[in-house]
Amino acid sequence: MFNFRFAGLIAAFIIIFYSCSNDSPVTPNNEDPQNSSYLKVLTAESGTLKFELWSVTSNPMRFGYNKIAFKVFENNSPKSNGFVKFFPWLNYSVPTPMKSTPVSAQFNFTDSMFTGYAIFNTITGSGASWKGTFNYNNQLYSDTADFTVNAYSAAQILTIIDMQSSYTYYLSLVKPYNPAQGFNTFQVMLHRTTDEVTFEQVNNAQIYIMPWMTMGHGSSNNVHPAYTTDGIYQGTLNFNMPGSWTVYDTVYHDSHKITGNIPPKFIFNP
Amino acid sequence: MKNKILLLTIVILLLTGFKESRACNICGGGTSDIAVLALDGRMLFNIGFLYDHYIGVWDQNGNWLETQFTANQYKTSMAFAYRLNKHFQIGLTLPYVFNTTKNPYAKQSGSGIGDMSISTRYEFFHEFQLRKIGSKKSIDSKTPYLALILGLTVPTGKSEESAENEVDITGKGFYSTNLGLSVTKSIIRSRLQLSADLSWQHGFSNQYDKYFGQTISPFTKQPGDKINYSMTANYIFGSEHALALTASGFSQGSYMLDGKSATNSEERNISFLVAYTYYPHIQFRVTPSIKWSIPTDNFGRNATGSTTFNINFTYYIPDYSIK
Repeated sequence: MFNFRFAGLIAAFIIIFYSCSNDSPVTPNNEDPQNSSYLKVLTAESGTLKFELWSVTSNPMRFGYNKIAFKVFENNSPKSNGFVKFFPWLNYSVPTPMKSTPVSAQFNFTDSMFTGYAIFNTITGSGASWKGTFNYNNQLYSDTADFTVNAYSAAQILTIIDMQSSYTYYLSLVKPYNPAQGFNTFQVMLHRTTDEVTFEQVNNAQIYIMPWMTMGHGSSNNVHPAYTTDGIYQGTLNFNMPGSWTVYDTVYHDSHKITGNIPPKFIFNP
Repeated sequence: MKNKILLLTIVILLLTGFKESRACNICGGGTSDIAVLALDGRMLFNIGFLYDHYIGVWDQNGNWLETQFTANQYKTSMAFAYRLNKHFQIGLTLPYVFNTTKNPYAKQSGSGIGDMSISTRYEFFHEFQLRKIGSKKSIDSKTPYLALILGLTVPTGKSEESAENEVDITGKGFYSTNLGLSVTKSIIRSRLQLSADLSWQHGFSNQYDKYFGQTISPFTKQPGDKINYSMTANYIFGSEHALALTASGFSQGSYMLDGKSATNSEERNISFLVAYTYYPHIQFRVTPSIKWSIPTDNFGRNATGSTTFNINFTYYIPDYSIK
């Protein structure tokens, strides 16, 4: 009797210890706002010239990174070579120094449109509205067009003031916007300005990341973002637990560290 | 018949809790409760097997978040305890930890020695001792068991400083001390006991020059001071069986990063345990147990939740001359 009970007990624990649980593999989150269809945002006309602004990201456009494109028509005939330039600026209801935001230096013709990006650092509202002008090959110019930029809580832009060079840098999140547990592709862009009107895309910085959880630990196998193409730095984030993650970003440019001792941080909630 | 029903109940409890649980690799796996000797025990040897199934975390607001990846921790703990006299005993526990994860893009398993823990226990009083009042000797049925506990955990395991993956973590990475009180009072002699444990745990600062094997700008991290507490009811069935129900928890202050308190990093957690002890022989006992968290908001904060199955085999050498 004793042996039977004892053996039963041991058997129960052996079953528990070595049973396998059902587990469906989870794929890494590679959410890519760049791969959706384009939505037309606005049309700006000037005589026989017509510019159409399209956005992959959203319509209206939103705070943070927007993948956008243009179609250009002259006498209703579409242009299929050359480039487009876009200059957005903020119009305030009270006199305020001009402010713009980072955009592609020029939008080149690819995939039947002139493609590039705009990173909006301010939303429409509270006395501020967005306006834009466009030109084709620095020859054909549109009239000023109004457009709206909506708030978008998932987008993040970090401001870095470099005391050594007097530049203000903007580190903008490109992805992920909806991070998952596990590994995520991490993309950012870096720009700098001295006047908030002209922005230079910085392609030769070194960016080091440190993901950290509120309960006091990080994660393994993160990959620091390295420059790829079109202004994008790409790395990998490992969110090994659900919850609130802080991703500290230390940035070096022009042979010195431009971030402070407490680096700026992105916040994610996988 | 009663015994069979009890055994069946335990087995059912063990099996029904199983599918929903997962383990926490990131939390390390160094410490475990020290084996404790009764007054008539001179020394004991214990081997324990633990299976911890991590199910999720409570975030900084106390919201429960379920994990998407199964992660388990298996632990074998060797423990030894020795009684020096009626009042003083010492113990030592050394675990071996094996971690697994089903994250398809991460290393799937890792193992190593965990953190070693050393414990000393000074017992002020034992229950039902002979007391002499005048010329008369009688059994003291009022005084409870009361012990002062002092412990030290040594970071012999691998922490996130040198581990290259989460599954390679087998320890906390810092020294910690533990100072506590343990009280037990029999409500019905040899039948029903109530116990309470309260301890204060202090973790020491550690400097990190590497993190997950990568060289980093050095930083120091120190865990917040921690209060552990538990209440146990233990029911004894005859001479062969006992069943214990425990509610336990902890509350931990903010950790310090480079000497500064980390905002919103306080931790707390409540869990429950049921343990059955079977004494097939006077010197040998088997104790299976299940510990579980309640995966609901506000049962924890900045803490992990898991379901743990544990079985301990304890052999002890009695010494009836201890007085």
